[in-house]
Amino acid sequence: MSRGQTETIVSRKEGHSATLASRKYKKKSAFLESWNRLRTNPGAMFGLIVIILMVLLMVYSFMFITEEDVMAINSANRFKPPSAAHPFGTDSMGRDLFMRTVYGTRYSLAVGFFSVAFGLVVGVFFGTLAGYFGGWVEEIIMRVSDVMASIPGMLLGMVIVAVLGPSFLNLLIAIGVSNISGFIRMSRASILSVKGSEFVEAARAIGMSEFRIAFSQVLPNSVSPLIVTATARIATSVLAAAGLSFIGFGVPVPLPEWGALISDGRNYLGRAPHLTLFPGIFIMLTTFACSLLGDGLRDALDPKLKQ
Amino acid sequence: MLDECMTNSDVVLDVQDLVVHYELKNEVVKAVNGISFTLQKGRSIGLVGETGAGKTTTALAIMNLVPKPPGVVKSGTIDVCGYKMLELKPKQLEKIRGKEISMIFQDPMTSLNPVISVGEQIAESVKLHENVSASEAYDRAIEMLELVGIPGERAGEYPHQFSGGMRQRVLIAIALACNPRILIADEPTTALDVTIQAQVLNMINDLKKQFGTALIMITHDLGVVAKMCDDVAVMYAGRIVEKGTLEDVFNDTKHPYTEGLFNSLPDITKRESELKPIPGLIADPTKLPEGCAFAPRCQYATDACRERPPTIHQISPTHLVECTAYDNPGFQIEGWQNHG
Amino acid sequence: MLRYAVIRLLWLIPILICVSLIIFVLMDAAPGSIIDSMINEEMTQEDIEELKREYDLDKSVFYRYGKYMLGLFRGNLGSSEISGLSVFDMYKTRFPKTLELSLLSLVLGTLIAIPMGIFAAKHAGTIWDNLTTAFTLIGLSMPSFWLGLLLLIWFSHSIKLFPAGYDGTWKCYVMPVIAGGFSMSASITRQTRSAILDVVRQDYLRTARAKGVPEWRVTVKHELRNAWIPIVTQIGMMLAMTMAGSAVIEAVYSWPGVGRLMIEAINQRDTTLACGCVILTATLYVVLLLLVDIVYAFIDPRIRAQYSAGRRKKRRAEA
Repeated sequence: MSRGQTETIVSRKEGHSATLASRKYKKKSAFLESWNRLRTNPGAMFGLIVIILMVLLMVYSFMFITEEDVMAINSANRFKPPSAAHPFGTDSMGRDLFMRTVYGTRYSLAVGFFSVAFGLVVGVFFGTLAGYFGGWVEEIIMRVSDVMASIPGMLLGMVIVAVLGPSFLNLLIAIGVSNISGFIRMSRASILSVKGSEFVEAARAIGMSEFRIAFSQVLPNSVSPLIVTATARIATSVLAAAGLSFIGFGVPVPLPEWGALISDGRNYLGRAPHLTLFPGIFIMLTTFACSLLGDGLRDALDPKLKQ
Repeated sequence: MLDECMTNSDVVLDVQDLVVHYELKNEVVKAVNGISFTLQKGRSIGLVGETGAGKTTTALAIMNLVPKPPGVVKSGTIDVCGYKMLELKPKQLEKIRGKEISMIFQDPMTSLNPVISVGEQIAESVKLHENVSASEAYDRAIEMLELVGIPGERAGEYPHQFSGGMRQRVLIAIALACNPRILIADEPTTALDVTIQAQVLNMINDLKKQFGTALIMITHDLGVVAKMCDDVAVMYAGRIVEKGTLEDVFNDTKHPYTEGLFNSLPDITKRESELKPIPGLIADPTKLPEGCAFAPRCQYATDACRERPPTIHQISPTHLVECTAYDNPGFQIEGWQNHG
Repeated sequence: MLRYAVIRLLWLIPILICVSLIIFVLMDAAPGSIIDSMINEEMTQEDIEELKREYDLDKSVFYRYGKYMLGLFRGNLGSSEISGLSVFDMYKTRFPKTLELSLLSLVLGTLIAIPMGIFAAKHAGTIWDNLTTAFTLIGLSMPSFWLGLLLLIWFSHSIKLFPAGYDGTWKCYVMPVIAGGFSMSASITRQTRSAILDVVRQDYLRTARAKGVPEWRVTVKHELRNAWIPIVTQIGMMLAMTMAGSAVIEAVYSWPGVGRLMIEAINQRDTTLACGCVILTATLYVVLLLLVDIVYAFIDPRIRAQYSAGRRKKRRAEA
């Protein structure tokens, strides 16, 4: 806070420092400026590094860990506590938990990425239509969005899985659908706030079509809040997916999704707590990193919002 | 309490050598740089100057309400009816604020709490300072509303139901609810329509006379000063550059900056007369010069002005000017006789 | 005020109809139907057709939906395909357990969150603020079921202080309430902090201080009353979401609430029971969100005014 806040306090009274500050910033490009703000935020950098590490782990698992590695049962090796050979120990079927956890990175990252991307694309499309065109288009889209927001994500996930059966794709659909309405509201709101501005008038004056104005002029100007929301949604989506998998409504059991791993581990809480501990740490790290990065992006992209 | 004030020959407010800075991360805003003035019971002083001259900071410092951080009172004493405002504990300060000294703020649109009814906001002040029941306090609030010209039955309404001028009246009612000895009015009419401005000013004047309240009028409008004040202090870059009675400052203007202020006023009787604005911008309070802060904009400035702090000259027992040019006894500003 | 509540209540109807319709149609499309278990080898095609007619399977899904909703208003949602008990009664017996758990978690979460949020806002930018932020981010990132399991490992398996499941004593509430309350407190803290920060720079606080209002009273009366709306929204949202998502924490602690009832129903392909549970829970969710909206109006006279302005003008004209 300190800088932004003190500046407003002082500038309201004395009127100088704010103009000086903005003069200083204007020279650099907006992107570089945001990046520089992000770079100096230790929390956001920590989040970014963790996310990059997770992605690297995923790439590693695609290259070096086969499905057999994580599925093969080895009854001689059951419930081994963490050791040099098995850093996270082994599970009830003697499978190496480290390999399984690393292999599971793909599910959480995919859910985080694709369900948010799906919600973002669909939500922004309809939100932009609603915000830009108004009238009955807006009325219909917003009412549908209200209805969607009224179905709790968890329930929708359970219903979809009940109907379509537990599978990774169904999990993606369930969470993706519950992400839509947030993005509709968000993009509509930011469209409304830039709609009346002069550059839109200018675009209209050079004869651009309304549809093109909406998506080529208005939309790019509401990107920052969308990026911030999307990053935060990744965290909640990963959590929701883990929760659904935990109660058996996500990735079906033998596959090492993190929530499913914990669900398996809960049967052996007293005997092998490491089965619960490690996958949970991975879930927490991933969502923690996304939240930190989301907060950092919010501060970096819009210093006015910074608190 | 009352006795203390009497013993100090009716001085209700004594500010000495006040310095207030805002210490930000990479710069220091020198808002107030050593000002002194006194105010006697029932009198009124106008603090005049451009935006950024440190008027509001001075007022907040008198209330001990400078936002900290970043605000820091570097030095000085403030004496309100015998209380050293800068040394008091929060508990004691709360007893004095609203009771001995009140303040009304510039923007009536944002200065009232939107979720509390106006009657309750006035009554809160009464309840805090006087030993009365809730309903007595509320009755008093209704009286105060009527005193400022708002029907008492509107006490239960909320700020958004009032116009800007009405809200300023409510703020005045809050400030005067406990009959304070000193009222600070920080640009009370700047945010209002011209016609409403006059009404509000008249009302402050009437109430001030009725209650015998001393007034500090903060404004950039010399017309307001002429209408409301007995004394004038002209501020520039956190210092009082000229101080005296209304007569002294208006008819015997000494400081080049004061002269500049007068020259910036349009004269409606002479349409062809040209405005003579002061060149340049007000000094940057983060980078104040060694010498006189006004020197860069001053047509009389000499090297001496730029090199060392300005000297103080007592023109008459009531009239003070801070300007190195008066080291030369023959010095006179050009238009000094022009504002009658 | 009443008008406002009525308008909001009227809005509830189309939303509830759409929500329940979507759920009903989805569940109706689930593989297998209620008559599958009744059909046996000896039945002729006609017998099956007869059975289908009996259960309206020859009619459109909307017909069945209409009939179902009529049943809902009469408190009759059919009977479980497995136990044969009334769905409505089953839900009714399980519901208090879910409500207890959610409310207790909410109370714990709010009691921690509001002072902490105010504290963080008052110390914005300092180390205290950063520590609070770190705490809330951890709370938000930690899956509640995982925290629940960690508590189980420690309190139930290691030191055997609390029972692992529901046993009806106060002891069995401790862990689920902590697990549920922790993540709630995190998001309420965040919301409180930012809501307070939004108002701390308002001019009216200066007015309050200038009239001698003590600092604690400035916080409680002038700041909090203006910051309430987003905080109450968050609290209401958290309650609604916790109740709707109760399945997870109930699964951890084998809690006899509606969430677990729902999981069991879906796992056992008891479509009638599952559909009933989902629709009732969704209804509850929508109603809770509506209540939050109505509470707004009590807090903020400006919102209240929007809905009663018309009436007041009329009254004045008459007077």
